[in-house]
Amino acid sequence: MTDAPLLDAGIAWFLLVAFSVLWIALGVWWGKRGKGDADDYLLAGRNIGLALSTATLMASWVTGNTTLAAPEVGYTLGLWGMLGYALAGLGLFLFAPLAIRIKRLMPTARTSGDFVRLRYGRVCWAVFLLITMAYTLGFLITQGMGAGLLLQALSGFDYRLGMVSVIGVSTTYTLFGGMRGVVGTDFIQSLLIMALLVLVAVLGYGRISVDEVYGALAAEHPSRLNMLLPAGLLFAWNTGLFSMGEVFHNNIWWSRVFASRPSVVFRSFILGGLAWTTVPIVTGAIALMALATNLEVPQVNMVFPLITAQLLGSGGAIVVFIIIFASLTSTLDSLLAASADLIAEDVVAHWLRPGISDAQIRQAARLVVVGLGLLTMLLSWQYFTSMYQLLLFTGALVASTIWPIAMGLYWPQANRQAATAAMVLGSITGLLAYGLVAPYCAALVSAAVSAGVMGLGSHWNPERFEWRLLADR
Amino acid sequence: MQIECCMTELQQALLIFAIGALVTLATVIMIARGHARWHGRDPYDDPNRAAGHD
Amino acid sequence: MPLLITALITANRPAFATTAPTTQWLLPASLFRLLVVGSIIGLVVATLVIVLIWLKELRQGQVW
Repeated sequence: MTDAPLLDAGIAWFLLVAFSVLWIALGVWWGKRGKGDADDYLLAGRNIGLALSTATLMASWVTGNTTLAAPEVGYTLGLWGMLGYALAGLGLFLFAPLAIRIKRLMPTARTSGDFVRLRYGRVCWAVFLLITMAYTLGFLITQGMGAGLLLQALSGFDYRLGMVSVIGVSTTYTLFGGMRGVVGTDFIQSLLIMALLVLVAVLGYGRISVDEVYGALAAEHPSRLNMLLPAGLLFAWNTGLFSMGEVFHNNIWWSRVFASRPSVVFRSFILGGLAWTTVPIVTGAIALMALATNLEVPQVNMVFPLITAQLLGSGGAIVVFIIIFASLTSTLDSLLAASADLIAEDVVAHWLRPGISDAQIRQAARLVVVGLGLLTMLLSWQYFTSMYQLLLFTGALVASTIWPIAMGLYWPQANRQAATAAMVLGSITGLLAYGLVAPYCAALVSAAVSAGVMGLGSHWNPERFEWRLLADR
Repeated sequence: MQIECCMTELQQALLIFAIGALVTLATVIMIARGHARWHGRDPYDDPNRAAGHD
Repeated sequence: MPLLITALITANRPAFATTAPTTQWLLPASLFRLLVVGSIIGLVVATLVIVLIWLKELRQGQVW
């Protein structure tokens, strides 16, 4: 951790209170629009246009990890760190065709769990729910810990105060605003993140030119420019496969498909992917300036705040605070809303209390938002590991869902026993690879094993799935 | 692991890189074929059944 | 769960060096410049495109 905070405590308090009030007020305001039924609360009325749809994908995918961990891997692995992280955009690009198919096949569905239950049956659905819950908790914890670390490093706040504040704000406006509040605030947060990142990059590279950075790296840190760096090559495809696993299975992205107008679904994922892909390269390029200027970086996941404050002074620290606060809240709100939908729809309405009314589903979703917010605070109470290491760990789980989901959407032969086995075996082998080979290999091994099991299992014992079963959730 | 005694660190990394590229490419091809299969069709009208292959 | 995760993620495993001397193939300066400047320009364009689409949808009443 840095010795002295980068921001004056008074300014940090002002920013924290101002943005907290803004997000909560906007969330409450947007939450009052619409008809107030469950579809409105869970899916913002199913009629979001292209601008909001693209911006919410962008904001949800720019996580605390993109603004803290992408510069970290740019700093430690150089070009392969930046390019490998940017490959996480693949998840959004490749989900675009799947999204059209989902929208046409399941016009009344609400969650990714609806698809797995109807397509592969209840055993596979239970395995899927275990995977997505474990992943969601891991993801929520990384954002909670990121919030605590950020406020501690930037302003000297106690770790727990920062963590509780950010999670509390996101939980509050998600509770009152539902998906409409989440999408509306995501739009503003994504524009803030993009505009301020451009500002930092332009001002930073105005102080030290691109050629000067290249010269310093080539002379002092050539490994960062080395396209044959072993650790970089290992990292390269992992993030792409991880992102496919995350986007294909997680209800954050499925809920965006259900919430958007049919005509904008494909374009929003392509545009969101294009916009997002530039972010890890820009933040990684900013982190490379720390190496070029020989900036002392006591903790590598703080390289982005440190170099920005170094180059731009206290104004830089303010900009970093806003960027990372917006990244964390925009991801936390999406995770909370989409996970609440999944639990209310899949666990409560289809398992624990079948036949409950729409109003009861809406109420259950609200209770789950609060419960998940409190659980995230509890699990993030102790900072226990590198955020990115934890995320790589969960990559082993989510990458096992890539082939079962994609094959199940397109091919009637995709077999339910093979899908269950693919998720279980992919997860186990991915976790073993994490421990025995390298954390960067977890998603790759999981995806490869899962693809093999799914492909061979469906070839040997093809199912004859009747697609109309997906029409009614 | 046995792999470490017969390959350099770079060779191991290149092998894993190649496997990663292969898995990603296979996934892209599967999705592209699936998308082409359903493009412009009724979402419930399976091309295999229409052609009598099922 | 945190304890389980901590135990697994701190398990012994061979580390791949990030800076050790190895075979090198450095990216040329021209491509490095293209990558950095291109990504910044891409981010600017993406921001403007989202704002322009929003303005168009706002005029047509198609935002929500």
